[in-house]
Amino acid sequence: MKNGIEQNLIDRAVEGDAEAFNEIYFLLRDSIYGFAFRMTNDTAISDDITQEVFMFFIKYPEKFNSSNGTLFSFLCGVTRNKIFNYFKKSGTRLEINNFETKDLENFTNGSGTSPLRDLLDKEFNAKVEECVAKLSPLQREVLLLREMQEFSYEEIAKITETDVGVAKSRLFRARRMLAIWLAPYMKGEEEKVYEMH
Amino acid sequence: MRCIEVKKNIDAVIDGEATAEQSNDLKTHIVNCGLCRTELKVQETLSTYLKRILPVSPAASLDEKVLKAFQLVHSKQQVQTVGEENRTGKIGWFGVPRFAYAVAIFLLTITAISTFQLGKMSASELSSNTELPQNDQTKSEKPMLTNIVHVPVIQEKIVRVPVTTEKIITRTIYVKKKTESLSPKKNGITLKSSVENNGYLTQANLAGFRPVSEINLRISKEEKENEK
Repeated sequence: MKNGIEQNLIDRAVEGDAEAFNEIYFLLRDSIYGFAFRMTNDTAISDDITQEVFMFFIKYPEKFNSSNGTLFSFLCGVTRNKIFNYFKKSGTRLEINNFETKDLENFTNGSGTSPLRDLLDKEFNAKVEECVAKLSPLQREVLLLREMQEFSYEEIAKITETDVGVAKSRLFRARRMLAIWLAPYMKGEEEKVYEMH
Repeated sequence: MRCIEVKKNIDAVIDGEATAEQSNDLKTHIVNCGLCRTELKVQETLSTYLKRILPVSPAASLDEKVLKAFQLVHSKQQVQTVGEENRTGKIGWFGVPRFAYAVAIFLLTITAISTFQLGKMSASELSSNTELPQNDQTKSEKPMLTNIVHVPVIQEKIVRVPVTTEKIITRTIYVKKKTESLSPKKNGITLKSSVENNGYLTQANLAGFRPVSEINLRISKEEKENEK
């Protein structure tokens, strides 16, 4: 549904139809906001970015070309630009993971027993969120665009302004990093597979 | 197929972007490879959890902000559109033709300029009248103002000055210089009265005499108008 917004609805929203705009907004709101929030980990900034993204669409509708992709992917690209502007201002380094060994120790000392049985545990969910937040921005955005927004590799490459190979590579590394960091929560064999080297 | 080749395709299989051949190779491989099977399982599990955990919703206040911003932006765009239509069309603001505005502005400009010039001229005259002389050089450079006033002669006034005639009658006693006697009878010399026969003694008559006393007997004044 997110990727299948009708052109007629978009045209009406651009012409000022509040109802059409509401429909588009509520269809895409969570995805845009979620992407911004998972990237910045700041609700206020995510709010601002989400608002700016939708206003950008209203002010400059001519920038969207349906032949280049869906409105959703276009707005994700706009969101990504605004997020990286924020990173630039805040001095965030884009290629460095923030995960430290002590975090892993905390995890190990946490629940510690039968992680696979506790997959539904809230603490584990919180740890997964924490690990995602500690990925480098370049890896995190690819993971989010794939897992949250379910974009294809090609669309991810377009949004992140790279080629498909680079996007796949970043996604592969992000997933492996998460698996390694969360290894202490995995049972038996999995812990052996994802040892830290 | 080797593990390293299979692992490359695990992501594509999970994401549904692997070809049928890649999927079959993986399935065949994991039957006999526990490590790859475990990795596939872990990645599938993580992917499932990420899809469930990561989505978040914003606060309700964001909806209000965005929808208000939309209305604001759109209302501004409407104003701009109306402005553009006015620029391209003949009708100006408030339904008055743009040409009328142009003429009015032109007339106002002309009036303002002329008023300014008049004010400037009167100000310069005033300054020339009130300006204090600073030095002789500047004073000499300025033209002298001469006012010629024609006064008509209405009447001629005749002034009559009175002439006063004063007559003094004096009695003077003279004695002969060479004689010591004071009495005229004694010396046998007789002086005729000056009032006799309206005659007067002259200096020749008084030669050899000197005055010894003088008495003003009468002083009479007579005013007579003298015409000029």
